[in-house]
Amino acid sequence: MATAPTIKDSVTVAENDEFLLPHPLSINIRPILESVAGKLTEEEIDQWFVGLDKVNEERGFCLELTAEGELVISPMVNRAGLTAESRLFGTLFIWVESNHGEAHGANANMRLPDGSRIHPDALWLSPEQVDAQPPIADDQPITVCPAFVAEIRSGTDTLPPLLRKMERYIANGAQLGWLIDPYRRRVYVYRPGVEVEILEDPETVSGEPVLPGFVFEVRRRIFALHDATGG
Amino acid sequence: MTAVATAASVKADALLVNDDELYCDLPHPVWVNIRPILESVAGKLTDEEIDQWFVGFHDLNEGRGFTLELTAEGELIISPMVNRGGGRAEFRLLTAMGNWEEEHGGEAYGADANMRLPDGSRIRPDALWLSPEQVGALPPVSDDKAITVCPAFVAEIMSGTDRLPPLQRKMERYMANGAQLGWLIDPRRRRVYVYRPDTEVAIVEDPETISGEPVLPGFVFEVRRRIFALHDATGG
Repeated sequence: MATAPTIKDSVTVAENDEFLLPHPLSINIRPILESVAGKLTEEEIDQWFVGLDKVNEERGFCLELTAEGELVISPMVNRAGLTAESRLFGTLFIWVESNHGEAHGANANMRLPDGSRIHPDALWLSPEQVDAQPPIADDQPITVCPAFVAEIRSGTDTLPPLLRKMERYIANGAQLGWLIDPYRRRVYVYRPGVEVEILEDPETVSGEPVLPGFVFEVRRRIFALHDATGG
Repeated sequence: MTAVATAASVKADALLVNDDELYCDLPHPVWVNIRPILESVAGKLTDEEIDQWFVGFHDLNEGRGFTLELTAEGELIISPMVNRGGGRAEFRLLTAMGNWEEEHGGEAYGADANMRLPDGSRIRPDALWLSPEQVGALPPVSDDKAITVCPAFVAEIMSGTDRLPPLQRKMERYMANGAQLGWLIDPRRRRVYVYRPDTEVAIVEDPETISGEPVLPGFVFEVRRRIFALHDATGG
């Protein structure tokens, strides 16, 4: 029998070494939500996410919560995914500069009317929505569903949860939603009251009529990235 | 060429959540810090109400392939369920403890026990034993009530998805909360780490048996034959 040295530093070791989630993980935490009903305000619950972002920084995942109490832990997107997001967001941002409204990327905190704290990869608030919001503060979430939302499927995403997420945006008041799937070279276009439209390998996708004049060259700007990386 | 199709099936698919989709095949445990949630309920929820979260989590996440624990520091630990080999190892240890318990008293539980340590952690070992004194001090056992003492004896069996340092810290936490004896069994390395209060951890290399003295008088567990051998057989 050998005696080992005391593991004295072990309790201070960073708990979450580089962790790579193979895919998003969904945990039902409805019991927490039920237990705080009537005891915490929606704003206090919003603050969870400000805090959660901070205490889980650099763990390689982001957190969302649906109205049904599903805490969704998603791996951060890889470099190609980040490039795709920034290309879409950059184009949207340029359009906003010469038009109106406000564009935000994936780091926006959001609370949908149904209570979901989920966020798209890119979003646009119409001028009317911007006016109706309190002045933007870092810690305050956007509490309307943006007029336009876009999601880009990443290598760790499976399609059905993203389709449901898009349905949720539309049900909460989005006027236009794009789900861009670089793997299948498809764009799913969501609009209220109509069936989802599937564009197969489109060269461009149009933001009409919600974003007048906004045309995004999805093939060149996003699908091509995917060709290059082979992944 | 842009082909445009409208697909009714997409909408139907989108709304259907199937069990496979929620099942998670985690390579190892994931830690999510939920301290902001705990801080927001401080003074608003009792410890017993927070214990009830775990009863609910267990029901609502059934079939998803993971278990949930929470440390006093607010780390929600999502661990993959053990595989069949790990399940059998736990069962064998628990069976041996059950036999011993019949003669010696106290209460033995497996990994499904709800527990709240004095420091507020809702973590649990693969097997535990409450001494007769501990049983006497607890309210009558009910399914929904957590065990609110740290068991006199706790045992963890390392699974293929576990890494050693988090388990070592878990053992240290049991000891800091009042456990009298702790075993961390590592079938892969054929080792047992034996924890006792105020002494250094003892590492026993490929033992044939391990003794529960003096906490579990007369309890001798044939760890080589009952657990290490399982590992030989499965090769994993």
